[in-house]
Amino acid sequence: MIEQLKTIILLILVALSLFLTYQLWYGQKPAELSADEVYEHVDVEKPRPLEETITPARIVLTDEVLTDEVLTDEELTDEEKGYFVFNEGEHGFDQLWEELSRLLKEINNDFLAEQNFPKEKALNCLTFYFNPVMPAGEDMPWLTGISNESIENIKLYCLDDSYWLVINEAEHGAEQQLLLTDEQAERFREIISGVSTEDDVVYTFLTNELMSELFEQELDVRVPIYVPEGEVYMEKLSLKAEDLDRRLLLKNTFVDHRLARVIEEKDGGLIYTDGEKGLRMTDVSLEYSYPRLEEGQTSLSYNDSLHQCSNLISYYGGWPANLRLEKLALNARGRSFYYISEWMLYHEGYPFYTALPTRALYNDHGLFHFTRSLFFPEIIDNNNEEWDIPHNEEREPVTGWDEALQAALEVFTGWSPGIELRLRLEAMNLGYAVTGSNNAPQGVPVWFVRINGEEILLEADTLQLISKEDLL
Amino acid sequence: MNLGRAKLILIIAFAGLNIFLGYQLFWPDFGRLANVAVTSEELEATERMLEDNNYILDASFDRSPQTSDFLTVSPDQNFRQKLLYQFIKSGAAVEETDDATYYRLDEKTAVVHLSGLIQVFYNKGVFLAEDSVNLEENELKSQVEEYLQDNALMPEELMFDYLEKNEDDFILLNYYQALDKTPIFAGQLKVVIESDHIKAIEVYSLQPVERVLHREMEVISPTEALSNLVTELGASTDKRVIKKIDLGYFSGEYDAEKWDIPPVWRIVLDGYQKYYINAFTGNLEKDTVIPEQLQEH
Repeated sequence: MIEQLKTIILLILVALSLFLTYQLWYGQKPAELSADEVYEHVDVEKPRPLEETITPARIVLTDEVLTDEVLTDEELTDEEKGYFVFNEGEHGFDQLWEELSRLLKEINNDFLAEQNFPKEKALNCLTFYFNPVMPAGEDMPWLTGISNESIENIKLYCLDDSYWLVINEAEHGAEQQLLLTDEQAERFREIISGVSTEDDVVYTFLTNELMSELFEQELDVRVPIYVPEGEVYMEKLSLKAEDLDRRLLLKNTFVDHRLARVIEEKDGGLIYTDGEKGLRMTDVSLEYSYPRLEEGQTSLSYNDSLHQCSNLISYYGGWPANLRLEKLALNARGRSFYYISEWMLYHEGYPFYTALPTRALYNDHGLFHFTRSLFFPEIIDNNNEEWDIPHNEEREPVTGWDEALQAALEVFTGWSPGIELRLRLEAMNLGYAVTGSNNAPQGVPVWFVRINGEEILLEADTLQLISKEDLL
Repeated sequence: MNLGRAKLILIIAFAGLNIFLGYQLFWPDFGRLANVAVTSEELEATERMLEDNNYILDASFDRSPQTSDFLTVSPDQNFRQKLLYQFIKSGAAVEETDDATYYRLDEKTAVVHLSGLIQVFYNKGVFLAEDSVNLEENELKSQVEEYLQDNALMPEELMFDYLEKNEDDFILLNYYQALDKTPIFAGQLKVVIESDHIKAIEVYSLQPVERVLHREMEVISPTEALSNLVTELGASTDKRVIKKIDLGYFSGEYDAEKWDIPPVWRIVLDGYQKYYINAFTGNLEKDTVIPEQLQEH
């Protein structure tokens, strides 16, 4: 009897062990609510170091420096001076910036000049403009020997065989002068002479005097603006919208993206939201919003915010080549303070203007609003080879800056008729307006003019106004 | 070694093996074996917490663990077309505004909102029965439903929810949509009856597209949903009665092509006030989940 019982128990145990083994091996795991198991490792682009986060807004080379007989600033009037301007994405820009960056890393306070040099006897051969300002000093990669400062521009002066670096501080306008060693001077000399300016257009510097000569209206130029004096040729570009990894963005945005619901809009856009934060993706743009974080304070320093913005752009889609940090400012809304960072993509030195900026808004709580819309020139053909850049004959000539400015003034006056305003010219440059359809975006050459905060885009050949609604 | 001892050793070995396998399978959630999501202790604790905050639990619910998924829906174009066809066929004057389109006939007006909500207003009302306020609920329901079906005003798979009455001869009949008997609380039909006449109808009908089965997960327990609601609402000054607690789907109204709606615990207070607790996250569902800045497009 006992033996029979043992046999039955043994059979039951064997059957149970088989069943449990099957369950363990093939059986479905019970549904889980907990997010513990849904944390996934995500590989995002490494943030850029500070040296690559900040780049000059533009680099200006005085054409005089390339001639055999070098005159001084004193001997040249503004009208006589000509400049070569290098912007992000343009040949020569990286070379000049890398050399300056390397130099500034080497320099400590030993190089500070004890006496001012005679500027009027020298020629300002090279100027680096920084906007956002460049941080320098302790804990920074550049000029570690000086006290912490924000640098607005750095000018290189040539005086006989010596080179002087003049560093202008942003907040108080303080100036520091550094005499370069022979070796450093030689390196700069080599780079300047190596920069090809053969096909480059000479630019002119806009001054209030020039404005009053050319225009009836009084126009105040408060920032350094350089415009091309010679003929500029530009072409319409075929563009393609940036192809973002949507799955990665979803994983980055939501701890458990399974809890995010999808709303498919009538225009084809997709909104993912968990009720607190949302991610909107269309064929040409990305928008992230986390309103609960908006009400917050900002204790980040300017330098920390530079690191933070580099982290954010890398995390939400990456930081492609020729995308430049264009703006970094501390803003206030009510009692809340936050940083705003804005980027622009450049092609051969010209920025792209899009309907939705690439912009991040963040505070101590984190990112609460982010938009991204980038377009790249379609220069890769089916054989994966770059197209030839069209020659000038295939490009359209651009209308001169003076006509463009006159047209912009007329547009501005038309927007606020009868209102007498003191006009400030805040920006003027050539660029590309991104228009067309989502399937076939185009980069149309434009004059970009900002007067009293109003942004005006005019087609570069016809000077027809491009409204913001026309932008993609 | 005799056979008896061999069997004993095997019994001990297999018993050990089974304990090990059982541990691997069920630990740490041994509660799953009991097959309840809400234990008696948890239920008692929740009832005490509710009472402390002046809420009385007067509803029953399934205590077993439950799973659910997202449901993808789109606006119910068929229903809308059928309804509007009748208006257009009768020669309705059409007027469009920024957020709605009006279809006007002499005796009634249909208003179609961008969100998909449809309202029908009867100028003089549709007579139902004398003294309808005193009719039995079932009788009133059947009269109303007959009218709705005859006039293509009743979407498919609609379930009666509850009835509200006040002293001024005002009656509100509430229906919700369902999919395989699972409520879709977002899809609703409301019938306004006043002085024995149907005065207005409000329909928000959704077309279920698919259940997102690969995202099936266990939902929070009803007691957790109740606790979350009380945390959200705070203690009540007046005594409030929890009349119903049901699992279904709910979301706000969107002017979109299609969208996912999550499972919710719907909690009905005092017989008419409804709250929706997301059955995955435990958050109180708002009218819209799209952050404001993303709605600006």
